[in-house]
Amino acid sequence: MQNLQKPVARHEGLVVQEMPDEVLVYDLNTNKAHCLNKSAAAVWKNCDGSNSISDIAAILKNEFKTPVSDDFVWLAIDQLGKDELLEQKLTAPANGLTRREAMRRVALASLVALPVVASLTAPTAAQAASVCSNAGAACTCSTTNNGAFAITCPGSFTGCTGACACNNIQPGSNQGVCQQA
Amino acid sequence: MQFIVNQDLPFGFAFSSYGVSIEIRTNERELLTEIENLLPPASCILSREKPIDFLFAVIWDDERERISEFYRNSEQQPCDGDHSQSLHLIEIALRLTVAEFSPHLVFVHAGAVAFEDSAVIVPGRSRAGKTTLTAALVQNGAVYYSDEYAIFDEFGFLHPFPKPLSVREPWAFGKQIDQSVEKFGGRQGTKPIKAKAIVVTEFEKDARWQPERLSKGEGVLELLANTVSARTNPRLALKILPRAVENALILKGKRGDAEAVSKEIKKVLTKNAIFA
Repeated sequence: MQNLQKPVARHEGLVVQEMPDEVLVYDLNTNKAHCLNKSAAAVWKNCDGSNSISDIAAILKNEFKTPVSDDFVWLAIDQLGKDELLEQKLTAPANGLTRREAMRRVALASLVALPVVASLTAPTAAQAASVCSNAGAACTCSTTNNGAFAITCPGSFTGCTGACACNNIQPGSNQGVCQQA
Repeated sequence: MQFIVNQDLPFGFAFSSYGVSIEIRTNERELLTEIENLLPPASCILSREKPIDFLFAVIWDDERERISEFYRNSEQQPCDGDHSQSLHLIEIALRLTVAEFSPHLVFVHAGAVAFEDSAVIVPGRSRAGKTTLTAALVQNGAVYYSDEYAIFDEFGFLHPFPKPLSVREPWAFGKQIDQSVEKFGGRQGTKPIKAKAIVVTEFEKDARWQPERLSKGEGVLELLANTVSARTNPRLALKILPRAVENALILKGKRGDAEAVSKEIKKVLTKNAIFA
């Protein structure tokens, strides 16, 4: 019964870019970027609300010219659901297997690459450029020596690799200025 | 915060860099000359009548000892340090603004060099060892494009971001010191070229260079993780980055000595050219 569920790919709030064997997706709501490999992309593209899990397996079998099981499709659906690339998350049938065991079983039975979605959270501009967003702000330093770690840089350490360092410390005190570490 | 109006800051000029136009206004004429020396590469001065994208307001304190306030549009920026620190922050803010808001180019925080029209891109955050590896590649005969930004156009071609290499010197307690590319026996590249290798790596003591090969899509993600405008303009990033990697081998792994790895990278490029 659960293999008759009909998943629907999400499209709203997504920027999609096709590559020869992969699909890139940027989620404008979460600022997450995903790379779907060929198998995952094929499953996602066929999640149109009219294809059941078994239908999608049959479509992929036709496309890849090799048997594709419902479990294979469920692996992709599970990942796509976790990454919020479906309108609704679906629940795979309970078979007592962990995800790792299920992947191993599917991998052994498949000649096609397992569906994989690689993801990352896109950086802010300051993070990407490794700019300490609070560089230049007053801070409390861990010692009274220049180069000490800043105990408090106002706000977050966004953009800093590790901690902000302290410099320009006022003599006899531990008050300094945040700088790029 | 009351927005700074023109009559409070009588001195200024406007410039354009990589498609972003910025006006700088200040209450101290001498400061303008100092700021002019901090402009990003490829900047050209604009006539005052041109529309601008950003207004930087820089206010010198009453004692004329330090910069007391600094704004980008109406957003105040931190500048509690001394005069030279504040100038450094303004320089960083100018570069970041250009990198984030360039309308047709994508800026990836990366080192970039080229061997015979084949670019090698080394993306990564600060302290990952990008500049050290970039310098080693230059010393091995590569033409230098940048140690800060790899800039890609709509066709995926790499453009230079010409600036001195900012090397961390142990004698300066790890502080960055600018050194010209000529000091490394190299020269500045100028023409747009395509990437043939993307090397995702960071230094780890005694690490052996045994990189795994990534797919083109994974390579795009690695570049996106270091793309300044990733959140501001993801559509442009996702349009351009796949074109940037289309001819490239994508390698990822920890590295030890930069000199040894740079030789390996050069070998890989040659082999890849033969079997491409």
